[in-house]
Amino acid sequence: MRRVALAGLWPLLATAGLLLVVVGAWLRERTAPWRRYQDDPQVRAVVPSLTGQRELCLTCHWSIEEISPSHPVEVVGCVACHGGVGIALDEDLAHTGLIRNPGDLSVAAQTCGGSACHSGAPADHRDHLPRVERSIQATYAGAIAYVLRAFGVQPDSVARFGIYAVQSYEGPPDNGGRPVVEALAAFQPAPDAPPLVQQFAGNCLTCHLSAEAIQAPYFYRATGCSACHVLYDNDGLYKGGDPTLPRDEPGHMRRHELTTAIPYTQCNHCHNRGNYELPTMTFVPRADIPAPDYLNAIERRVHEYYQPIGQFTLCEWELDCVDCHTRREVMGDGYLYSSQRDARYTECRTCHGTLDAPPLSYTITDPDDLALRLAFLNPNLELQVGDTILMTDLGEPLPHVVWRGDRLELTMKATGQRYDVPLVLGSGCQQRPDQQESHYCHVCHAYERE
Amino acid sequence: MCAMPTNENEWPGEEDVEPLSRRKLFTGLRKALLAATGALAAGEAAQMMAHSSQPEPPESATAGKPEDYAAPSLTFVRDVRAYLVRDALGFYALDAVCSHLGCLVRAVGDGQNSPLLGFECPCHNSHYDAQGERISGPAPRGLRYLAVELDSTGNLIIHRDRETHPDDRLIA
Amino acid sequence: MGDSRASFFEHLHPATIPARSAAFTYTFGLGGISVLLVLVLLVTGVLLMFFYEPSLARAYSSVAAITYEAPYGWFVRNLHYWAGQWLVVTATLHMARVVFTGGYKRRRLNWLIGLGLLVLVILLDFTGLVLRWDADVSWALLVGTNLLREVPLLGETLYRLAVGGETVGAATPVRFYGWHIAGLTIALLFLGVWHIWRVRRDGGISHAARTPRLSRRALVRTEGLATLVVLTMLGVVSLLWDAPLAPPADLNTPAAHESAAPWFFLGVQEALRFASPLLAGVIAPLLVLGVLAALPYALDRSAEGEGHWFNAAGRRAQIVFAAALLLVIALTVRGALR
Ligand code: HEM
Ligand code: FES
Repeated sequence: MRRVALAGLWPLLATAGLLLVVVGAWLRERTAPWRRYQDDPQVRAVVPSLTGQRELCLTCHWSIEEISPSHPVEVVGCVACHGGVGIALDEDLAHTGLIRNPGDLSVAAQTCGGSACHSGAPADHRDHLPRVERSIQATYAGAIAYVLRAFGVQPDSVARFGIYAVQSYEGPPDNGGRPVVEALAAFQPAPDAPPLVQQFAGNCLTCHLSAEAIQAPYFYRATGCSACHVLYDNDGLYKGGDPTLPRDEPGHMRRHELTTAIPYTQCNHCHNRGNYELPTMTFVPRADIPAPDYLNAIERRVHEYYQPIGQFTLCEWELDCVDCHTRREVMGDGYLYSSQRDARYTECRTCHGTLDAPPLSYTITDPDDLALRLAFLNPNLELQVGDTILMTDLGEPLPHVVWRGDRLELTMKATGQRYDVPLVLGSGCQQRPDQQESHYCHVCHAYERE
Repeated sequence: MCAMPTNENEWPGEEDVEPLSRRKLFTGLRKALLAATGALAAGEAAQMMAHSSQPEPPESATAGKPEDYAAPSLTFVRDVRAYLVRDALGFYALDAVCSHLGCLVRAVGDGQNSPLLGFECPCHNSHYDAQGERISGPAPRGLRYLAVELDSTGNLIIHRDRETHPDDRLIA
Repeated sequence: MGDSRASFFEHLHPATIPARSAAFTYTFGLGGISVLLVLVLLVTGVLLMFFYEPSLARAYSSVAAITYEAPYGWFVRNLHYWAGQWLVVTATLHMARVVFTGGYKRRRLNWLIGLGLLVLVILLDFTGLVLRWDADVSWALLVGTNLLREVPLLGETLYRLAVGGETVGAATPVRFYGWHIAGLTIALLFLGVWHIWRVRRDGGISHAARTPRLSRRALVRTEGLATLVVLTMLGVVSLLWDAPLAPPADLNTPAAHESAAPWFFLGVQEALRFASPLLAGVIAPLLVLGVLAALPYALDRSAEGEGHWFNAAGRRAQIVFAAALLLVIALTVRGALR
């Protein structure tokens, strides 16, 4: 009796089940995960001219800022730098093989350096990657050599080891006679090395281009090329437009942007952040940051920038690091140096000249001049053929220090603020002509941090 | 088949115990649900089939500098399927797509060595005069006038998606 | 259905059927479910054909476009995928049912046709898998096709027929596509129709000599219900579990992880670890097929026991079949557990 009553029910229920399936498909289609990022959800495809391959990344990352005007998304796309499966809208598949930071030195050869973009010919100044790989910021050779000498493992502070093994490279031939080394071996302390050297290897190799940043305010930064060219705020929070990136999770770039207008805060994510304590071989972060609230902006800057022991002049806290230190110094020039001391060659006189002569300068005649290229990359700089700009002893252009009539004008790369550069020539400077290196200048021109 | 036919309307062992109305209700409901399922599934399949990721044909194309064209002259611009005409007054562009069923019309005369007499359609023999006005054949109306402009670098651009007045000329 | 005239679906059946044959617990509807899955595969397959592009450059990206860009493409792809997987299972279980009920007795030709269907189903699954052209099919593609080369005498020819050249390359995707959507499918439809016609020709589904008969309408209703239930199950699975898609295949780079064969070839892959490619990859599978083909000819020629589960007359055939099936399952499970 009951069986009979239910006889027509099962087909009815099964049909209802099938209807639910079709409705379920409709629901799933309407609620595809990528739809949650857009108000008017649509698939956004780009076919970058560099690869010709369709990419759907912008479907989710639709309002991310363009990485830079010289890497427009219509040309470079996303995948050429970030890898991944660009035609998938599934988070996992799309991000298989994803390169979070294309500037990391372990992948830079295929990303930044790919298609000969930034590992091109030295003569064209397009050999950024091979130079950076040999720079002391990447090899950390100076610190290693210094520690090995301090603990008696080696007799002098000539670099023998780096973070990885590397050979000197055929860079620009003239480096002004600064001492270089031919090759570095990978630093790996022998088992019988002094315990403190072992400890140094374990604790202290955190400040080079391949080292992950310490995850704490003021330390957040990326690795490799991006360590300098992708800006991080001190709080490590993302403030750009990508709807997929969290706003409240520290450890992210400020915005998805590459820049050559690098403020001192960026350099400070590594530099001036603390000290290695030799007796214990541990890193001790500075205890005096952030600066106290009662300081004004300028005082803050001096405070947060320099460690209490620092000795510096007015322009060293008014300007940014990159206003004095050139690309050859910072990104390397292909030679392997034993220390910062050897890698650096800018002096006060590079801009201020000496008692006898104004600083070196030249007038731009070639429309392909490197100075014009550098100025083009920085929205704060304006430079034309015919302008007379300063150059270093080794002929590196300073595209931001320009003769305007009889005024020598410096434009800060990061802020665009302009200064007239005072010259030593004709001033009351009493320095001996044979003592023109910067440390002599500091004797009179030093400022003290309060 | 050596079978004795049984009552075809019944489930095995099923007698007339069940209220007829309930069975009817179940059957009716089932049919309605099935129809809804079918309609929805067909709609979903149709949506899928309607999808296309084929790139749209270009809406506009550049056609070089004005000085590349003699006056008078007539040039077919492939990318936008249009005739670029230069006459004594200036430039104008005529859509080469026939207003009948969309074949590309041929120019009669090239406007340079022989006078431009008009256009004819190879498909069903529609005729247009040199201004694109319909003369004969099944075409319902004349050829469209497409906007011609100069871009910032001084190149001519023809816009397929913008129609203009027959008297409009780009004076270069 | 107040009208008592037979519908189209009813006409596909004899007017009355032995109650035993129509009982769900006799056939478990496995043959019918297989037919249904084939129909689902045809419909969804046609939808996929509107988008799939068989070329090295577009094979993978068109699958991605189906999955992510075409509305409901993911669902159609999932349905096609799961129906294909299930078909291997239902056809195998159906074969087992036929063996254990003596369904092959007095139906030797249809047994062979059925075996042909099973081979086609597996080849269809295999060729379809390769069409995906993602990193996970690399093993299947390279190993599967290279095995063909091991076939004595015919090897190179078979390889060329499958791959379309001296090596896997630009001609291969369209080759597999042609086999999958036409070559093998047409053969499947032909054998399938023949198979079902033979069922009627052989006097209907096997049954014991004397049993009561009942109307086909009851059978059609059961089939209708089974259709709804199977479709719903297939739909639910396709809503919840996606057909796999890995990053694109790169045949010139060694696979990052250990590559696995598709599950229905795991047994062969496992065997390949123990014996030479010729033995494990060609002779052994052919041997299994040969034994199966010979079953109604060499192992049990009797007509007794037809329609009886585990009938005594077919004991030998049942044991040999069970042993072969267990061997394949054991190798497959072993391969899967690696
Ligand atoms: C695509 C695969 C297949 C389809 C669609 C299919 C379909 C069918 C159908 C609808 C029946 C009616 C009985 C039932 O539903 O169980 C049947 C019977 C039969 N099938 Fe298949 N079949 C397939 C594969 C096979 C295979 C792999 C074999 C054996 C090697 C086989 C051998 C037979 C035999 C011998 C019968 C008659 C059984 C009897 O009368 O009891 N079939 N098949
Ligand atoms: S399409 Fe031109 S006349 Fe028919």
